[in-house]
Order: sequence, then C-alpha cells, then structure tokens
Amino acid sequence: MSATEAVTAVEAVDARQTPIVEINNLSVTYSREGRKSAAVSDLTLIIAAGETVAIVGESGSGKSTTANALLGLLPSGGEVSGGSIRIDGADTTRASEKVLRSIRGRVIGLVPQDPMVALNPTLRIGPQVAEAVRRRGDVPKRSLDAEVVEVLEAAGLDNPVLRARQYPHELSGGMRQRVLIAIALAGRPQLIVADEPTSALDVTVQKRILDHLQSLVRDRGISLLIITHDLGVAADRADRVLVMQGGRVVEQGRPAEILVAPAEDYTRRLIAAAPGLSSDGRVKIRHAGGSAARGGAATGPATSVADRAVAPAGSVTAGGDTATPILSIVGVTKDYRLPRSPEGQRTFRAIDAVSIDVPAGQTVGLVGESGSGKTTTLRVALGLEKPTAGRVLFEGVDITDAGWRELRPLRKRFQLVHQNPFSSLDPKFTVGQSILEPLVSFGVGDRASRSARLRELLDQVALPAAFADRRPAELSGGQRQRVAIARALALKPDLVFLDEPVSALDVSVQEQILTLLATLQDELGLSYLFISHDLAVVAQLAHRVAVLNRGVVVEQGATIDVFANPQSDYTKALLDAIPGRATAIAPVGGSADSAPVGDGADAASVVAKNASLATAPSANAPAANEKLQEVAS
Amino acid sequence: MALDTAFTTSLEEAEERTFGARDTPGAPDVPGESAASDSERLAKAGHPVAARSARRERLAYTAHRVLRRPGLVVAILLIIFVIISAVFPFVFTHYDPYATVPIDKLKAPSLAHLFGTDELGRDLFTRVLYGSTLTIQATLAAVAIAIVVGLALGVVTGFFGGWIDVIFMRFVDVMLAIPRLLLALVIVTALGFGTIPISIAVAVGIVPGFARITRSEVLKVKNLPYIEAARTGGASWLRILVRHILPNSWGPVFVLAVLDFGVAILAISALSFLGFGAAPPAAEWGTLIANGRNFLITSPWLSLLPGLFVGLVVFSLNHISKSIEELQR
Amino acid sequence: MYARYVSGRVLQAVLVLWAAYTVTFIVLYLLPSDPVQLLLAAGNVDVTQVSPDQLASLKHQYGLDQPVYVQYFTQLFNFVTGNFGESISKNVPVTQLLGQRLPSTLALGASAVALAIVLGVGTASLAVFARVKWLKVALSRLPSIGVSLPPFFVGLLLIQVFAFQLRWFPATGDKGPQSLVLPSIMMAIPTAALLAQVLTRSLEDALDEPYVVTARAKGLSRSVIQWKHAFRNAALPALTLLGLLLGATLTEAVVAETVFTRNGIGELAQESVLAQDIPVVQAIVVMAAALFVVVNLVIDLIYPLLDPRIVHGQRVT
Repeated sequence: MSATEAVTAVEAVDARQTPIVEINNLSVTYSREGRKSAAVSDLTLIIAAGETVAIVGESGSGKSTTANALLGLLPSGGEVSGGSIRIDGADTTRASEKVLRSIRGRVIGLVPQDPMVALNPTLRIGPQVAEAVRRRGDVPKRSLDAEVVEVLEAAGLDNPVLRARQYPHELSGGMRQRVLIAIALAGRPQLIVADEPTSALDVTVQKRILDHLQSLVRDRGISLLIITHDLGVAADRADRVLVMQGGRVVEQGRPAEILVAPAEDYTRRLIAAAPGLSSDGRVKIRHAGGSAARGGAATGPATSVADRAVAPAGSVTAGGDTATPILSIVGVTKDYRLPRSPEGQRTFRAIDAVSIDVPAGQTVGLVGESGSGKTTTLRVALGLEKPTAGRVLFEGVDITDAGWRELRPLRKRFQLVHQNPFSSLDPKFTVGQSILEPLVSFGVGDRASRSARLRELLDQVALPAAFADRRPAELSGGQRQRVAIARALALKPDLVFLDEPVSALDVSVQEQILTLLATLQDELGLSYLFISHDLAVVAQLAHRVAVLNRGVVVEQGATIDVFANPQSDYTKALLDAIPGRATAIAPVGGSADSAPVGDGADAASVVAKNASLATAPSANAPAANEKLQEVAS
Repeated sequence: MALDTAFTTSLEEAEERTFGARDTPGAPDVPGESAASDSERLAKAGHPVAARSARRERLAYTAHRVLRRPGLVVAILLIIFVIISAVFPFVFTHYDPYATVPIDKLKAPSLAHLFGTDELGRDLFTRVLYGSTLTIQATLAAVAIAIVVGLALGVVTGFFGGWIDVIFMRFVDVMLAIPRLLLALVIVTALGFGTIPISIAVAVGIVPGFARITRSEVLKVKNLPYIEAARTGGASWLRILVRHILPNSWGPVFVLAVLDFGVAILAISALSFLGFGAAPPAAEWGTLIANGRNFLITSPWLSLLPGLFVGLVVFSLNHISKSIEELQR
Repeated sequence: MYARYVSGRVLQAVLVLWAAYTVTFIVLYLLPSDPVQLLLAAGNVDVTQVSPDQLASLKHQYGLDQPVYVQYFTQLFNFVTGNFGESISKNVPVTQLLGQRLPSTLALGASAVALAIVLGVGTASLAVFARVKWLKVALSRLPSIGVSLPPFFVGLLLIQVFAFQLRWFPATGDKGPQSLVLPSIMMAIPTAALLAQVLTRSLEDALDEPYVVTARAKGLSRSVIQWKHAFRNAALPALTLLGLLLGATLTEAVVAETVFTRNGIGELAQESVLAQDIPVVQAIVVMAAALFVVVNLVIDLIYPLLDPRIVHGQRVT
C-alpha cells in the first residue's frame, strides 16, 4: 500500500480504539535524605494505537522519568506523587509488582538506551530473547527456538541462528541494538518505548536502525514512544512531539507545527540549537567562505550563530592559501601492534597517510565515526603518540620526532580542550587553580599577574570571577567546559585542539559553547583543529572539513563545498543521516514563505539527495514528507 | 555521551538531574551580561573571604553529615577512648595492672571491677587498658610500615608501569598465595617472639594488598583526562604525581588504611593469643584472652570480656572505614 | 582457546608455588643471623654448651655448611620429591607428622568451608532479596559483625555456651563428628561474613546494571532476575574472594585447633613456631601455598564457564 494510505489507515484506527496509554496530570518526586524534589510535574500524555509520539528534552527534563513511571520501573526513592497512569484501559498508577509485570513485555516493550550494556554479558543471545518470547504464554516449547530465530530475523539481524548462539560481546553495537528491538517485539506488545534508542551509536547506524524500527511498528500497528534529546530525531520520526523542560511539558503538537511555528521560547532555542534543523532544511554552516568559485552562495546559509558574530574568516581564507599553515599533518600513518591473534594479523593501521593543514586563524573540522582514527590523528598531532610514518609540522617546523623536552616550549603555543568536561578537571582543584596550572607549570608571571590573568580569562569565557574558588563538582557541564577552555587559553596559544568539545553537553549548551569558541577565535585570532563525530556540529565552527573513514581521509575541502556537493559516498551517507532533515525539508514544497531560501540550487540538491539516498525501507522518508506536507498545507 | 540516562537511573543520578548539577534547561548555562558584571562586583568585594567561607561551609556540611550518623559518632568516640587509654592508661583507672590481690581473685564484673578480676586478683579492666598500650603500639607500627612500604610500592609501580610493574604484580601474587597468618608465623619463627616481630610479621601480610589498591588507584587516576590536560599544559611528571595523582588516589587508600587497623588488631591479638607476643606479666589483648581460657568454666568473663572489647574496637574501625567510603561518594 | 587458557593458568600456578617456596626459604634460612642457633633452641639445647666441633657437625648434618644456592636447590629437589626433612623438636620425619595430622584438619576444613559457603551465599541472597525492611537491614549488617569479632573469641564463646552451658557438643578434642561442629562454626563465621559482604555488594551492583532493566522490562519475576541474571554476574568477585578464603583454610585451622585442642596441622604449626622448628614450619607453609594455588587454579578454570568474555574476549593488554 502507498504511504498515504498507511497514514489514513493509522488515523482511522486512531479514532476507533481506546488509547494504549493515558497519563493524566502525572507528578513524580524523588526523595533522598528527607529532601524531596519533583522530577515530573503535571504531565498529561495520551498515546493512541499505532501512533508514534516523541518526548524531547535535555538532561533533567524528566523525559526518562516519565518512561520509567510508565513501566513501573522508577528507581528507588522515586514515587508517583500525583495523577494517574492508565495502560490499555486499566489504572496502573500504584499497581502491584504483579500487575506491572503482566504489562511489561506483553503490553509495553522497552528498547533501552545503551545497547552496549543492556544485554546480560553472561548469557547467550538466544536465551535472552527466549525469555521474552516465553512471556507470550502461548508458545509451545517445541517452537520456541523457531520463534526466537524469527523475531531476531524480524529485527533485521543477518544469520539469526548464529546470533542466537553468540554472546553479547561478540556482536557490534548496532547488532546488539537489533537484539534489544527483537526482545521488545518478542512479547508482541502494543506499545514500544524507545529510550534514546540510538544515541550510543554512530549516526549512519542510528539512521538505519531507526528506519527499521519505525517500519516494524508501522507494519504491526504498534505504538511507539521515543524518548530523545534530539529534536531532529523526534521531528523525523514522530506523529506528535512533546517538548519537556524541568519536568513539565512546555509544548506539544505535530512536528511541522512545532518546527515552523514554535509557541514557546524554549522550543525555539532547541530548534536553533539543533544542528540539523535550520529552517530551510540545510545544516547551518557558519563559515560559508572559501567557496570562491561559487560566489553568491557564500552569504546564503549564514544562520543564527553567524548572525551574532560576523566572521572575517572568508577574507582570511582567500588570502591565506599561500601562507604557511600553523599546523601541517603530512602523510601520517600510525600502526598499532596487535596481541597475537589466530588471524595472524600483527598490526592494526589506525590512520593511513592522513594529510591535513590547519591555516592560521581558521578552524579545520575533522569528522569521523568511532574507530575512524580521528582521535589517533589528534594524539599524533599533539605529540602524545609517535607516528609510524609521516611528519607533523608546526609553523613549518618539524616536530615529529621532538622529545618531551624539545616540545615543551612549543606546548605554550598549542593547547587541548578535552571531550568530557566531567573528567578533564581535577576534582580537587578549584577553578582558579585549574585555569592557572599551565602558568604555574611554565613559571609564567607572579602571583599578582596570575590573578589578573585569571580574572581576564574568566571574563573571556563569560564566567563570573567568583567562580575562581569553586570546585568542578559545583559547576554544570557547560560551565566546566568553559573552565577547560579558559585553561587552554591561559598560555595565549595560537592553536587549540578541540576534541569533541561539546559532545557531552546538552544541545542548547552546545550552541553556547560553540558560539563562545567562535567569538574567541575572532577576538584572539586562534586556530582550531576541531575533532567531532558530528558533521552538523562541525559545520557550525569549521572553515574547512576533512572527513575520515577507517583511517583514510575520504574528503577534504571548504565546509560549504563539502556540504553542498559531497564527493564521497561516505560523506553523503553521513550528511543523509543527520536527524531533522526529513522534516525540515517539508516547507520547501509546502509553504515557501516559512524560511528564506538563499540558494535555490543548494536546496534542490539537498532534496534530490534525500530522494536518491534514502536507505531501506525506502518508503520511509517520502512517506514522512507527504504526511507533513498534508499537515502543512 | 553524558546525556539523559536510561531507566537505569540510580538514585544519585536521578537526584543529580533533578537538582540540576548538570545543565538543566531551567537554569541556563550562560550567566549572561548582567551576571558577568555582577560577578565583577563580587570579585572586587574580595573573593578570599568567599573562599574561606566556602571552605568553612564545606567543613560544616561534612560535620553535619557525620553527626547525622549516631553510630559513626559512637564508633569514633570509642576509638578516641582506646587511643587515649593506650597513651595514658592511668587516666581511666586507679588500679595497678600488675599488683596482685589474692583475696580479690576471680571476682565477677562489678562496679568496683568493671571486667572483674583475674586469677591473681588483678583488675581485668585495668589490664585491658594497659594491654591496649602494647596492642595499639604494635598495630600502629604494623600499619605504619604497611602504609609507607605499600604506598611507595603502589605509587612507583602504578606510576611508572613497565617491567617494574610486571615484576611487582607477580610478587604480589606470590605474597597473596601465602595466607597472611601463616606468613606471619614464618616471620615470627625467623625473628623470634615479642611485640616488634609481631608488628613486622603483620605488616608484611598487609603490604601486598595495600600496594595493590594504591597501584590500581594511581593507574585509574593516571589515565583520566585531567592528567593529560595537565600534561599538555606543560606540567612535569613530578608535579602531576604530587599535585594531581596523590590527592586524587588518596581516598580509597585511606579507607583501606583504616580498615587495615582493624585487620592488624585482629592479627596481632591472634598471634599473641597463640603465645607469640610480649612476655608476661605484660599482656596484649590476645594474651589476656588466652590466659582466661583456663578459667572458662568458672569465670568466663576473663576471656569473653576482653574478647568482646577487641571485637567492639575492630567493629568500630570497620564502621568508620565504611562510613568514610560512603561520605566520600 | 580454552586449552591455551588452561595451560597458561597451570604454568602460572606452578610459578607461584615455586616463588612461595623461595620466599619461605629466604625468610627462614637467610633472615635469622644463625639458623643453627634456632635449630639448637628448637632441640632444647643450650647453645653455650655446644663445642665448635659439635656445631660444625650439626651444620654439616643440616647441610648448612654448604653454599646457600646448594642448600636452596638441594631442598627444592627434596620438596619436589616429597621429602620435607626431619622435625627438630620431635625427631621424626616431617612427612610422617603431616600424614598423622592431615585427616583431622581436612575434615575440619571441609566442613567449615561448606558451612561458610552456605551461610555466606544464603545471607547475601536473602539480604538482597528480602523486601521486609528490618530483615534486609539486619541481614546486611550481620556480616560486618562477623568480620569484626576475633575468631578465638567466637570459639571461646561457642565453648562457653554450647559445651559448658548447654552441653550439646564437646568442648575440645577431635573424636567423632560432633567434635567438628563448634570448630567448624568458628572457622566458618569470618569466611562466611566476608563472602556475604562481597556477594551482597556485587549482587546489588549487578541488580543496578542496565541489563537488569532489560530483563525487568521483559516482565520477568524478581527471583528469575536475581538468580538467572544477577547472580551469575555477581558470582565472579565472590568467587575470587572465595578462592582467597579457601586457600587460607589451613591458617584458620591454626587458631581453631589451638582453641579446641585438636591434633591437626594447625596445632602442629602453632607448636612448631613456638619451638621454632624450621623444617616443620616450612613444610606447612609450602603445603598451605600448594593448597591455595590448587584452589585458585580450579577457580580460574571455573571462571570462563560463568563469564564467557574471559576466554572468548580478545586479549588487548
């Protein structure tokens, strides 16, 4: 049947049946050592049969608590303090464990968050799935094995018989996620709750699995509740989106309504912050310069971040091509010795002849999924690892073989900002001690000049001076990352390595940190080498992008060129997997006035790409588009 | 990704979220223009004061959390009592531990003799107090040796790694293969009897475990990003060891040190119970219990009360160790 | 894969045993300024009464006049061939002494170990499974009392209550199975308490793991989750500890047999140390190390059955 028919069928079912889930004015509180705090307040949510609903929120929004409450799996100390939950018509608000058990698996299935740890490591896959199949009650012992294989196959696992005999650690993350989907499906539930179903996976894998999950629930008429931090994922997948903040629903509606005309300020901030959700359906690209040949295209896609700080970068690029780059990675290869293995392979080539130049005053984004070798490249460039072959040049000076002592004076010139602000600051150090440590290590300045520098640095990263005496535990993730940035700037370096500097942060905070980094670059003339797994995030900061896949640079060029006209299939797949694009595209056909379209050719190319590259199941993306267009018109 | 966790939320995490230790959307991350100027004013107002008051606040908070645990307070008081009695045993008693009073022999516990009297009419409570001098000395010596040697070994092997580490770990395996008490027996056989050989014997038994914990803590901390951050900030290895690694690996090591006090007390009293301790009439706790065995039928308190006392002391130490661990979290 | 794992473990066990022997040799023969004096003292001979000639012949008799490495290898060879030398204080072959004393200690050790496992695993499982608040609290606090009490105090308390007051079991001796009860309980309590502490904690940790949420979301019952999912994962740290504890059984027996005056290896150890009878002490220590090594070898071989990652997993370090 065609996609349109599918949609109408769902809506017909919708009207006929009682809802699967009916949550009315739900409040959940956690209490600890006598203190009580509200995690969810006054939440009302109804999920109809066959409907896909997404709850979007950042950490602390109460979205996971809502899902916990629904399954009766609140952590100890958490309790429903008000409102009611009805599942399949029956009140389960304060139901006994026995009643809740009969619901779990049979009425509501769960796809948990992190597939790497959500399977029992000591049991084979088969028995773990069988437990769920057996809950159906009507499966005779004889056909149990066959049922297990069938449900594994349905979840999209190749060679299900082999998989059933394997242990979780023998499967990749994507395969484990499919096993978890199989487990959720095994009890033939009416609703599947997917809690951050793919945030632990690479984007391309994430897209394939979400597509598959969605086609499964559609075919079987199962409702789906997606819990996610990513408005893009929610908008792409859901019929209805709830935006939560601080335990409350701040906005809900169809994705198109919310995205096009958000009623709440918070939603607007989320949309602005979501990398893939610019209003014209394209990824925001901060530095559109560098694409000299394309002329007019340069100004078109500039968006919110760029609006605030107009970058002088374009001119730098134009003139800077002949100057010596501040950092040159030339043909760097790194092999790691493997422990003896039966396959006989002795070395593992982490990166292979990688060459990247970082021009002075610019940002180069290095993008790759896990295992692509981006971290190895970074460590080699930092002098933390010696390459097997190739050279690293800093302002034309070869530093490849420099020892710690020789490199030390240069360390003042290049610094690193770590991925995880929760572990990159010594918990015993105050903020001031952490920031000033490089100065102390290098013996720069005296007490007075250091404390002046501290105030200056805190000011630069927009932290109050009083923070100098706080410890990391008293700061939020974003604040910690500001401290880490201030520390990296303490020695007035010329080049800063950014190792996934925002991937551990909530999207709205990501936006703030990226803006800060951009402002600092403009003010201080810094150069950045920006490592990230997320193409969309890189686009917000980078002048140039290098895409790394399995240790090889598959594409390199000005950001705008890579995005508008990707050359390698891998880059195309990466771009295609950025959540939010399917939804955001809608207004292009539906309501042209909703977003200023700067460059018609660009938009067209993006639409064409979506049509041609949509992966299995092929009906998915167009179906969503059509549906949204209906809504929009 | 440290995003919203799944259904697995432990209580702490749940709380962290609700109280917004991370970036809660409700409390925007950026202080903003006005906040920045606010802070400037604050800074001019003098932040040393703020620092001191913050420190005092943390201290007060810790004190508050300790006081919330009456069990812990009792345990700490008991240990303080034992330590004082070990240094000044005469503070808590007016009897002489060695003066025999045949008339008063084998008296049951009473107000005059809290623990009763022994076969020579000596006040048992007094003998326990004076015994704590010996036992606590031996324990202190044993734990001090263990801490110094174990800490040094653990830090060196954990920090430098490589072949030193490999050899050390093999050595620890061997030391663990000989049960502690038996190893102590071997050492006592070689060194002879008395308080000092016993302390050495017990210390040797504690060192491997202590060194191992230190090593693993150092290793854990050594690989954390903030060490690398300090390194890229140009800090020397010595600075990293002293300023970053030691302060941050100290916690669990300290917990184990307190626990090992209890272990050492048990081991030392076991050795003196077996008759390898100080020569009479001086008596360690274990010796007192062993002596009382001969009168178990008629005067059970002679063995049981000192035994109970040892048990209480060890239990208190274990409880303190466990509480510190919980408070550190 | 498994064969390589096994051979590696066996080799390691042999190495540890050899090293344990070496350590005791160093401590017993190289540490004292003059082993002969210790030997004489053990034989109740006054050193000052012995002429230099006699001393020399004594040294020769015990091989102490030879270079250290010769002594070391001669003894190592003797130990490997089961010749543990002669007791100085008792003037009988050590092998014979050990043979006499072993059965009593084995019986005591085995019953104590069995009791400790039952008590430890039972307490931990109940403490985690119990839903009645006070029972849960009581069960989880119990082990910390067990590890704090001096074992000999527990032994004396047991004698006082069950032998003298109630007269259920004999207070001393090693005649008949009844005499095993009290010393077994005394030996089992600290072991069981430690085991329960570790197992309770690892069970609780395992129940906090994400895969338990997966299991709960399937609608499985609490008992299935605890036994099928959590217990297997929690068993590993407890098993490691159990290895260490079982290996120390002989040591526990030293105190237990002294308290209950049983003629076992433990009491022999205590007597020999008191008499500074070096050959006997060394033989007992090497035997204890051998027991430890064997127990832990068995446990190493059980590991992969509980956690498939141990053998299947790629070696990466």
